[in-house]
Order: sequence, then C-alpha cells, then structure tokens
Amino acid sequence: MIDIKNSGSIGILDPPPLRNRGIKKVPFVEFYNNRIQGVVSSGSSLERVYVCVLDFNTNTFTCHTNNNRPCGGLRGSMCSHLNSLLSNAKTVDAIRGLDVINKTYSLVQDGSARYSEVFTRFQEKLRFLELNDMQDESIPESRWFYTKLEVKK
Amino acid sequence: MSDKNVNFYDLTGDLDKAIKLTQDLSFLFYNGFSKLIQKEKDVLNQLAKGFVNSPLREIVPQGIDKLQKSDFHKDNFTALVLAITSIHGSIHDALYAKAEEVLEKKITFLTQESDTTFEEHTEEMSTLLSNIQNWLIDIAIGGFSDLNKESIQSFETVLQTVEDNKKLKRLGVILRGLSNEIILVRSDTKEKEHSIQVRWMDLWCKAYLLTLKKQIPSKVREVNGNLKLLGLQPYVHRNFLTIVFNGILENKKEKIYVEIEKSKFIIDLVPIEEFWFQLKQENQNLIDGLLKSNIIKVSNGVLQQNGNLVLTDYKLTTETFDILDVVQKSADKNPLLISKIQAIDRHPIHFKLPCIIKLEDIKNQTVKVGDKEIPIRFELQPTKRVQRPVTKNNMLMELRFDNGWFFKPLTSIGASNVFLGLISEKISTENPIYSILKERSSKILRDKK
Repeated sequence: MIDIKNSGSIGILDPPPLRNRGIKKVPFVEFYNNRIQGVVSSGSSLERVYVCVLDFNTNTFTCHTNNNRPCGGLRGSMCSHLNSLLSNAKTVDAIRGLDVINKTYSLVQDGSARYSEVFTRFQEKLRFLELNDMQDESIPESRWFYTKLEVKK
Repeated sequence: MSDKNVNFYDLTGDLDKAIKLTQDLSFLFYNGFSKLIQKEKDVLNQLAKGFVNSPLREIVPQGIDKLQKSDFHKDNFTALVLAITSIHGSIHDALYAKAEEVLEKKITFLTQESDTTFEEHTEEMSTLLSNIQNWLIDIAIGGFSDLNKESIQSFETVLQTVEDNKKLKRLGVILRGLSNEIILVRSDTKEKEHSIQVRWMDLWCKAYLLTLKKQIPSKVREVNGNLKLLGLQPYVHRNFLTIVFNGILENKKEKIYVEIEKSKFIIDLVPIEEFWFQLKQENQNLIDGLLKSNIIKVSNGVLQQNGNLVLTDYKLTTETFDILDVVQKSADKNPLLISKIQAIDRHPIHFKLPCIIKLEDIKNQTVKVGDKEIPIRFELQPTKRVQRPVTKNNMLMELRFDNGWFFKPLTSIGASNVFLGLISEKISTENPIYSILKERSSKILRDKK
C-alpha cells in the first residue's frame, strides 16, 4: 500500500503481461473443454483461414478452411496449420502447452471435429471489434460494472 | 428492521434505511421471486409502503402485492422496477444533501430545461424488447442463484441482435456486462460477494427499464467555452474499457463540472495495452490538455443531462491553467455547477463532488472530514507511485458513494504519460494485434453476411 501523504503522489497499475505470440499466423488459439483449438491464417488470402482442433477427449485432430473444405495438408498426420496452432498454444500457456505436446502423438485424424463451433467462437470475438465502430454514446451504467472481476480472474 | 415506514420518495433523514432496503432487495433478487421467504416478504412490504405521497402510490403496492402472490405479470415487475429506480434516485439526491451537511458546502446544480420523455417503440422493436423483458422476468423469478453459463448462453442470439442495433447500444452494453458478470461469478466460490449482488439488481432494473418505452433524448445544452481537464479515470471490465475525463467547462456565464466518456469493447485476443493505445490515439488532444494543463477551446459541444460532454469541435491551445486554482476560484466566485442527472438515470454511484483535500488531512489512505475518516479508493488498485503530486499541499479528489463514502483521486497523471503503467507505447506499436484482427474481422464477418 502506498502512503499518499508521505509520497505526495498517487498510484497506478503495473502493465499487464504482454502476450507475445504470432498473431498474424495464428489469430486465435485457446484451451477449451480439453481441446486446443483456434484459427490459422492461410498465408495467401485474408478472407481464408484454417480452423484447427486438437481434441483430447476423442484423441483426434482436424483442420478445415472457413469455407468448410478439409485441409489438403492432412494426410493422416498433423498439417503445418495444426503445428502452428500447437506452438502458439505453448506461448499462451506454456505449462498446459508442454503438458499436451506429448499427447499429440496418439491423436488420429477426424473430419467430424467441431470446426464450425470453433470458427463461431472466433467470429464472436471479432464481432466486438466491429461494434467499436458504432456511434459513440455515453453509457453511464458501464461504471456500475464490477471492475475488479477481471483482476480477480 | 424498524417498524417505522420510510418515505422513499423523500429520503430526508432516512438515507441509511433506504440503502439497507436496496441491499435487502438485492438479496431477494439473488434468491428469486419464486421462493420468497417471510423475511423477503417483509422487505417487499416495506417497499410497498414507501410511496404514500408519490405518483407511484397506487401501482407500487398493487404490483408488489401481486408479486408476493406469485402473479408474475410484466406489469407487476414494471411497478417494482419503477419503485427501485425511484429509490435509487432518492438516495442519489439525499447523498448531495448529506454532502452539503458534512462538508458545510453549498452545492449548486445546473438548471435543466426538461426531463425525460417517452414514446412507444416500433412493432419490430417492441417484439425484440419484449423477448428481453421476458428473459429478465425469468431471471427475477428464478433468482440470480439459479443461473448458470448455459442459461445465460441460451440468450446469446437475442443479445447479439440487441448489440448489432445502434439504437440499443446502451441496453446491449448493460445486458452484456450483466451476463458476463453472472457467468464469471457463478463459477467462483465467492459468488455471494455483496457488492456484486447489489450491482446485479441495479443492472437488471436498468435493463428492464430500457425495454419499456423509447426514451426520447432530453433537450441538450449546446455549450462553448474553455475546457480545463482535471483528471482521468479508467474503468476496466471483462468486455469494456472506459476512460472518463473530468474537467471544468468555463465561459462568461458559468463553470460546469463535466465528464467526457470514451469506451471500447475489448476482447481477450488483444492485450489490453492496445485498447488503451487506441483510446489514447483517438483522444490525444484531450490527453495533452490534461498532461500539460492546456486549455481546450470547445465550440458547439453538447452537454447531456448526465453531465457528459460530447465534443464535436474543439482545439487544444497553448494557454495553460492551474488545476487547483480553477477549482478554488470556482468556489470563491462563481459556484461550480454540478449537472443534475435526469431522474430516470439517478443512482447513488453517479453521485460525485470535486473537493480539494489538504495533504495534512490524508493518513493511511483515508481523508479526515470533521470527526470522520473517509477511505480513498481507486477503481484499479495501485501498485506504483506517480512521479509528481498535484501541489505541495493539496490534492484534487472526487467525493463518491458506492456502498459507503469514499474519495477518489482525480489527478491520476504523471509527468510524461497519462496512462503510466497502463500502457506502453513501445509494446503497442510493435504488436498491432488490434489492427491485424480488425482487418481480419472486417473481411471474415463481411464474408459471413
């Protein structure tokens, strides 16, 4: 705790930790319900992304484009997109990332994994960025929210 | 609870009891109207008796009586919401009266031209709002304690429709914030944390209120003059980042205490520093004016009834001002005018009063006022020190109220960077995750449509 009188100053926050990962290559990666899932850029088109899922519930992996086509790089083994996803997952959560890497050897290819659900989760997050373009309006109630929730999390 | 009925329409002398009542009501909302126990019925009865001399004297007792008999028609919840909103407004007003008494200081309010008016929604909008109203009623019946992630997520499609509608932005923000808090807190062992519950009922009421009728924007004042910024406060929520500039708008006629609010939705894919950076870039002139104490010339600004100043045409000048001098002179010559928030939006949390605090009255993060010690609170817990004090002997703070009185330092500025600790320009410019995802989102979401 600071002593305002003695310091003659007031306090501030430490900067939050930087999430230093390859956002261009892998815009979205998350650990979710015992899965590593996310979205990997195609490299050739901004409109096209690959939706990747490593599912440790079913011990399967899959990679599809957002236009619902299976990745051509999948030939029974993990493609470059899945490997990119995995290496980014380690930067998001090093401990969990290292924990699962040994388990990836036992995974098998499966075309029916939840890529549409994953892509929807990505789209829902992007939606908020679009909402920022909406007309600026004062929302006094935004100050009613419990600001320390994020800190506690 | 005292047998004496409290007149909630006029709270003079009954402030503590009214605050206690809102807290009891919050617990009731937590448990739900479908399983009222006698103690909760007593709370509702106390509420019902509190509007004898008010325009709500008939509908509130009737509505509350029906709710107690498990008649959950929307008209009865409407009566309840109006009653709670009225209490919030009365507490808000009573806080100013109390502050005048404690600080021995006359507070002068800005004269408002009109109050809120309403009109009916279009049919399409009414259908959407009716769905939201039903969802809110279901929540009240079952109680917040009955909610889980799945029941909140079942509302996601409707919520997204609200968010995508520019006219419903305020409602969308409230519902999103409330939903997120419930999802987050319901998975936490400390879910019964008191302050959270209090806000949930308040947010629920405000959301419900916004579904009733279309609020016609009140007549706003067009203002011109010199804007002298005194401070900046950040508010960080799971999905929102808001900064509020505090300042005084001064012209030949008056000196008005104003706020300028800027918000952004945030997502966990982007480090929060980048959103700070975006806000900083978009408001660089205001930040420079705050950091360097430079006057900002405002033309054709719009002053809303909640004291929020919307800037349309403004220019940063090289003319400087002294922060404390501005407030002190205001007190000595022309009174500093505080905006009187329209009745429907009054809430204890919006009580605010700028005060100059002598450093000698500050000890152990409290301020001595008469024989009382009022704590100093920050929205975000500080861990470092800012380089410079405001002056050698004084600090500028806002007296606020949120489950108790507290002082909030206004002048959270450093010598060179207003976001000290909250933003690093180096990090933000080298890792423009925000812009990459923004570009991606416009392509992908357009594709989706």
